[in-house]
Amino acid sequence: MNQEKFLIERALDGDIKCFENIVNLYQHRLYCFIFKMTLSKEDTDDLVQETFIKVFINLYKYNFKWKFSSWIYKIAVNTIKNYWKKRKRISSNEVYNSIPSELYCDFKNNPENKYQTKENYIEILKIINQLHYKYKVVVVLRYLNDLSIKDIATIIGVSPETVRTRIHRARERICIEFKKDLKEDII
Amino acid sequence: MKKCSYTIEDISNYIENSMSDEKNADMENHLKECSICKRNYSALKLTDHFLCKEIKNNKNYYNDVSNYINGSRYMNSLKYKISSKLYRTVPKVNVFASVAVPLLLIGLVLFFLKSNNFINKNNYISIREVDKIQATQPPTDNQKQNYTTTAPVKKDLKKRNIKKLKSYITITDKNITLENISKKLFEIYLDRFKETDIEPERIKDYKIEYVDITKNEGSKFEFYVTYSILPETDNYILAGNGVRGKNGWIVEMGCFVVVSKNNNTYSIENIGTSPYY
Repeated sequence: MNQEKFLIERALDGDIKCFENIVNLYQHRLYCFIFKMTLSKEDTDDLVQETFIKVFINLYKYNFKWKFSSWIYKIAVNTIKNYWKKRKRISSNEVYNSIPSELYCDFKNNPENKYQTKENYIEILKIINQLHYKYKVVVVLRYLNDLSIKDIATIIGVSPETVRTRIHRARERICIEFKKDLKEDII
Repeated sequence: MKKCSYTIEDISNYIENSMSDEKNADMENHLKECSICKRNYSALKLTDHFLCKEIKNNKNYYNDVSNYINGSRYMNSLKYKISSKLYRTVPKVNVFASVAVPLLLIGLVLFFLKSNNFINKNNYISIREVDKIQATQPPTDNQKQNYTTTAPVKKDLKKRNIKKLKSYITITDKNITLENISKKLFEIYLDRFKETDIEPERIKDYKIEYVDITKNEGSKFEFYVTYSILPETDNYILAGNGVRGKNGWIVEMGCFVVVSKNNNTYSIENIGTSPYY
């Protein structure tokens, strides 16, 4: 946190190298978050870039009272929201082609579980892709290591209780849709 | 088939390893038997797998971003230094503003309403306001006779029940007799019936024939008045006394009127066909 504060102060003094360090510090985390939201590499590249431009332009508005990561994710969330207003999300058919290979790797570890197959995994990604924005954003943020429920609540602008409810509903929705897709297997 | 007692929340807790060892073991056994829970478990496990998985990306975004930003934006810029300090104090200002702004708005609304007489609910005050307006206008014939009349304007009559409005006058000449004051008060009272919107009460003309002071007790007095009226239509409702005479006139009408005196202001308190007190 002290390192972040130092970098922000220096960047505000005009040291552009410090802003480059901020970008390096957050680009991987932002990429992960935005990719899981969009499931499109092209969209993710554009959105990460747009988010960092906004971060630089609005850096003087940042208040040290808040966590810098929360502030930066808030900008990313708003950027994604605006982006989806202008463009449609990728279709379910495109999901298969857009997934990086490293996401498929360890299915061999669970050969005994007939449901944990690559096909079912693709189904889950399709379901997540079709989730309502308000459920999707909380569930994706929930799995980011550096954010608590309280942080997510601050980012989304709702109460922590609402965040918990939305996470629960998102999980419920995923399970219901997954069952629907495997209807023929239900005994 | 036995109904399953485990919820999606339980399965989530199992995946997150936030259950006790005993419950974990129960769940593990249950998952071997219950195909529905097993599917839910698979759905959540696959979701967990996707969302927790790190995605490698070797791209350096700064190279792209630097093409779109002005690197010297914050260099020696006093404007952004001051703005930055202001934004850091915003939360403190917000607490103050969240109390001050609503109070200020309420104050403004009240001031606006008051200045437009929206709070003026009392008829008596409204008539006084009309009185003030009339006082600023050029002297009328009545004022030349040392009378200051307080007849309400037509728009006021439309808004209120005519009978609820009290007639009153302010006398500046001490030599005027009670009979003349009574006559003038009653003229003001009858004038209203010329302007009323209620057709069966509207009159075209009237004549006051005789005024007699029946009681005088300092702050109050009573007089009896006889008069005739010319109704505007044949639908006129004749109540109390009075006889239909020639040319549409109703003659031999009479009533007792109670007048109260406050400084130089005389106002009608009650009108009836028999003595009030």
